[in-house]
Amino acid sequence: MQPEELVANVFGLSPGEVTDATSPDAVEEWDSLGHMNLVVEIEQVYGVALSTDDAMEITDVAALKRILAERGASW
Amino acid sequence: VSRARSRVVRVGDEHLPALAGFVRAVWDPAASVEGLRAARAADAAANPVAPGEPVPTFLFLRDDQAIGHLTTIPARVAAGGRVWPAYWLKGFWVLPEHRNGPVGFLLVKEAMRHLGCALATAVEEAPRRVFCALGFRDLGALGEYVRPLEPRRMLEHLDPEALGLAARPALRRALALAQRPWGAAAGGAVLRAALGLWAAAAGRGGRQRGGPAAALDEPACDALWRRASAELAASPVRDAAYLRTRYAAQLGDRFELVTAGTDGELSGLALLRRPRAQGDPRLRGLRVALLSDAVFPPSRPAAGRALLRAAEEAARACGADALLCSASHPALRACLLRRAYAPVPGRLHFLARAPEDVELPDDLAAWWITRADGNADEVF
Repeated sequence: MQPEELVANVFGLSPGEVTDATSPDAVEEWDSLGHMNLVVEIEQVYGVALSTDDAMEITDVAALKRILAERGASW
Repeated sequence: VSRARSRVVRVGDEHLPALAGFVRAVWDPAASVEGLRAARAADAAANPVAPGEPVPTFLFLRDDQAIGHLTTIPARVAAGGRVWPAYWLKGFWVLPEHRNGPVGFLLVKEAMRHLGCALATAVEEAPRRVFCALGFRDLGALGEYVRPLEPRRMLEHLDPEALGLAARPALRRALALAQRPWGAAAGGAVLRAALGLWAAAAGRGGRQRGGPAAALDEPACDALWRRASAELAASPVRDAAYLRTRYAAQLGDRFELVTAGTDGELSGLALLRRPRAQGDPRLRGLRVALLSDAVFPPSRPAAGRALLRAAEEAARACGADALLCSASHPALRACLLRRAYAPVPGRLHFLARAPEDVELPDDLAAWWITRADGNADEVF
């Protein structure tokens, strides 16, 4: 699954709305709880374990892709 | 590039510099480590749940900088004929640049690892979502009621949109009319007369006599709490020890005490928070006093009405334009309506989280909650 699609699923967006620049500033549902839902979904879909520091680093979709790449995940 | 190290900690002495930095950034530019150490020691000494132990406080640290904060107010909750230790969540705050990340969620999650029964009040949806995701039940918004004391000034300043009157065109039109230059004077006089008639029809409280009191009569307060709590399904304990800790040092300053009684017996007491100009945005420009706390046995509504009447007189004496009260219990809400308090849409939600061995009611109306609980009267 593409990260954009995953983000769209978590926050109820259409995949076309999500770009590398999509961040909590632009998505109303991306609050603290939404962020944790995103982290859980990332771990399940890509089979990675994210630390608190990783979760802190996910400030937009581009950062999410970078962290996934660092963890060896592919999409 | 090295990454910052993030973690949630329960505050100990070693975290006081980070705590002081956070408090300076958010609430008090003058906060110091020594000042916080002294305040924590005083809170520990007054801790009703674990006497002598520091009050649980949590920080989200990024390296050595605190970017999120959550503290607690230890309390005792009377429910089902027993008294349970509990903690009100308080001071839940994340620096703006770190909101919408994991900080708030992880702070509350860590706090829940340490606390048993936890209670919270919250207006905003985001913290309520976090609380509910971590096991709290949102019991709904407290009823909120406003009693005009100076109707003319209230009519001049009320904002119909902020009061939620957008969907009630007749009321909105009436308010617009009353807000014309001549309207406030005429409308205020009519409203004052109408409120007086309504309150007179409701009765002053029968044989109950209400009025200001200078100090807490502690044995009488304990006896009153025993009678009141026997009729309540659930309430934070409001005995003399609680009242002394919460209010005694501020009586005559920030708070006014009013009591009701008959034949020498204390049948109700209330704490009025003196008015201030900045407060509830729906009442901006008005001097609003707050009925922070009230205790009376629900089976004695006359005591409740006498108490409210005394509170209104005390609020007028403090120069208040209006008196605001938040209440969950039907007995207090009924007294407010009979004393001509106008209901306004409630915003302050009450949330509770109980471990399996603690039985707390799920119905907001079963609880006796007022604005004093969780120190929610600090913001109104």
